[in-house]
Amino acid sequence: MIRYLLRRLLQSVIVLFIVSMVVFAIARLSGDPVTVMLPIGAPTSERHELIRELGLDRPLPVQYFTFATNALRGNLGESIRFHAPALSLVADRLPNTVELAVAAVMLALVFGIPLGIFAALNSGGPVDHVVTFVTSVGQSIPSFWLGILLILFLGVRLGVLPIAGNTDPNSIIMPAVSLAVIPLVAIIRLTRSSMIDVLRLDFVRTAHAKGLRRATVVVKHVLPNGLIPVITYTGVIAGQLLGGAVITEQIFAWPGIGQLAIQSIGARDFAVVQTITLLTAAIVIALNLLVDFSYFFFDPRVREAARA
Amino acid sequence: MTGIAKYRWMAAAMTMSMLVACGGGSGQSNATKTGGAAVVAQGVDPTTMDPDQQRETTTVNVLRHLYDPLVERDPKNPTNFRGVLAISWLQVNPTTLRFKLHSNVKFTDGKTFDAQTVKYNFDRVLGNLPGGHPTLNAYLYPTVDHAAVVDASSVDIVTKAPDPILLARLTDLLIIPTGSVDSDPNALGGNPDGTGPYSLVRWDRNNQVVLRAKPDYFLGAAKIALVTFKTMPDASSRLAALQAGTVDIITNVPPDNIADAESGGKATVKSVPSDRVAGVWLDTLTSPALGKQDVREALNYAVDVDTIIKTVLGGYALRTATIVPPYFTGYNPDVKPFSYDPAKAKALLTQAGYPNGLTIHMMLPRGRYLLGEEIVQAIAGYLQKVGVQVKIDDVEFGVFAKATQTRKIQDTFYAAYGESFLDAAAIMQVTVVTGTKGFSWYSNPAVDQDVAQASATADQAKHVKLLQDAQMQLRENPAFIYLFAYKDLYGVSKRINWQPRTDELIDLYDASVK
Repeated sequence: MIRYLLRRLLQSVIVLFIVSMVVFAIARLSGDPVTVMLPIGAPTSERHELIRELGLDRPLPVQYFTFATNALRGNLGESIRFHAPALSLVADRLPNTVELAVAAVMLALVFGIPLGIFAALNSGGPVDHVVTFVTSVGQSIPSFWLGILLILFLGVRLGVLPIAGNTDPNSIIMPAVSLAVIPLVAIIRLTRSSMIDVLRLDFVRTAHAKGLRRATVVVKHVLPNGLIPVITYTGVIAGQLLGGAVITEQIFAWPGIGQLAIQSIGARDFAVVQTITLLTAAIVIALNLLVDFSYFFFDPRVREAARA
Repeated sequence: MTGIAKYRWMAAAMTMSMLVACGGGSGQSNATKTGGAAVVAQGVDPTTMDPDQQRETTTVNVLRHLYDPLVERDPKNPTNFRGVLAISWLQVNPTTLRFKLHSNVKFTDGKTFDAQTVKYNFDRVLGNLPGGHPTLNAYLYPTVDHAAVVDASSVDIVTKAPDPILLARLTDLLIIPTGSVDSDPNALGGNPDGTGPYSLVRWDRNNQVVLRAKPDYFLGAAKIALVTFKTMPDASSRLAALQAGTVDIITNVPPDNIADAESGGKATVKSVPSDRVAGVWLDTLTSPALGKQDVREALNYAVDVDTIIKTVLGGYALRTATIVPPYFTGYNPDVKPFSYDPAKAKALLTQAGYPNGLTIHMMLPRGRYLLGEEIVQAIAGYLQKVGVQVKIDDVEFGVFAKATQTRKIQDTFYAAYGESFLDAAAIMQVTVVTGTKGFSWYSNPAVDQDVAQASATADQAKHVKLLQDAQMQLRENPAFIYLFAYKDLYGVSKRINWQPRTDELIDLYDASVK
């Protein structure tokens, strides 16, 4: 297991390194920040001066080398827009993004798994049809549209929830609900289909034949097998949400890194864009590792394979 | 009259007019009791609390409450100025403007404001402090040479040449305390220290800035006790918040959302002419067709600008004959806009050698200007009717900015240029004066001469006359398809008294809660 763990960690470092190069190159392909920073009509001399000041006149490999060596020392550069270290700007907003992502994932899991199980146990029946229909509708609703509907109904018409920002304990409700819908329906569908597959397997029939109660069969034998794809999906979706739910943060003025990313891309604020992307990549990699390691506990076949 | 005598006479006249202006300006004490709270929603967070290291209106809106300038525009008549930290000013000679300053004015941290403070500010902005570089806002002061202390409450601002818009420039200089950035150039980035009517309570980055009125503000305490600037990037969310009554002021209400904004009965939409003038820039320098005066006139006759204003912008724009709106210094009321005359446009195109029309490209920065896409579509439609096919290049703003700055545009582009100095010379310098710098794709020696002379005189009457002549030249030999000046639309809660301003500044010092 230690070797497996070390191999995965090494792979993660390589992936991060490649991500840093790709992000560095792509950010610069989209243009330079000087054009956006300078006022309309600024003289060419001012443009050249600013290019030199920002170090953008040096060859790309040199710029990347400086960036990479500074990054290894924990210095991810300074924001040209905020005149502050990019890492501290991102770190300031990260707790808000984590808070929103955790709330959305929890909502999706708490409601998604039971509903999926319920639909699977009543497969083909009216309850299953209703759940399948509702999840299809849910999957088709764009989150920005749902967000605006929630704002108009709960914020404007009923006036029961704050519309924007994170200044009230209730501020998180609408963005979390809006963000949870897509993972929720995905988890319902995934749990349902996975459970149905497991319910058809021989060992489940054997368990029933042994005279075990249905609840015991479901909880002890079906669930541990049926939830493995859900764990994988939860890791993926949590990674995505922790990288900043761009549209939801924008609509609800949620002060997270998604909103910061949008502003920074528009301003060609390379240091901030790179920091957010690297951090997101690190989070996604870490969560994937966690998911992989969790298989050791949930799936004996993986334990066996690792030993072999 | 000798030169010196003339300047003495001018100085006396300016001082008198200024003193009269000051009497009704912000020098008035706010007698109303301070109380209540107001919330302003803006699309983006302030970038910094350091007034010299920013270039964004949304940031200035916050900082103007924390810091004071020497002078500010009179909101009721934006081409006039009134003193804030300055009591009066006097043109000592063509290149020296002397300011008499308020005494006993304190910064939030207790430091005293005096003439040395003003000198320190110019030294910092121009990069003259030890080890200093010009700050991000230094481009606003290209004519300023230095500031010199006369005595504790008098300071001279010395320019390299006469500068008729120096006062306008100074409205943007928000004063910081002496020595505040000596040890750390970024010291004010998160910790503002100004003499303004408000102090910072807290700045939750990307979320909100909360300000509290200073009870002992030297011009009288502001009437609204707490002002919050909330960051709300999404326009529909800002509108919803206004409808719900959770914010009091929102900017950039689209004309087609006015009914929505007012539907709940809690808010009203107020409009004010803006300093942003829209037009279609024509590459008269390299395009053979657009280099011809007849073609440029034809394009102007071909577009029904009044109908575009009425239908696309809901009437919320002001037609301009050239690129100078009526509320700019130097405006010429005798210059009339082109009429809508497609027949004349066709005739002119034939005369220019294009009887079968021509094809042009038109670049547009996507989402940058209010209803820009719709306006360009309408213009293209009108031009098509006279045989001019328009290929619209709808691009992201960064691409547009690079294309214009590196002068790689093809034929034409739609833009709206904001000129916060509200002066015809300033907008012409950038948009029509010959040169590879700037935002000009036009060359007309007569205009160049008028603008150069107008920019180098301290004589206001001469300044205006020269600029009026330049507008006649621009009407005769068009540089653009002249369009309109936008009107800014603000959604304003009915529970507060506040009037928007032409210079886009949201200043709540004079506002009050009903």
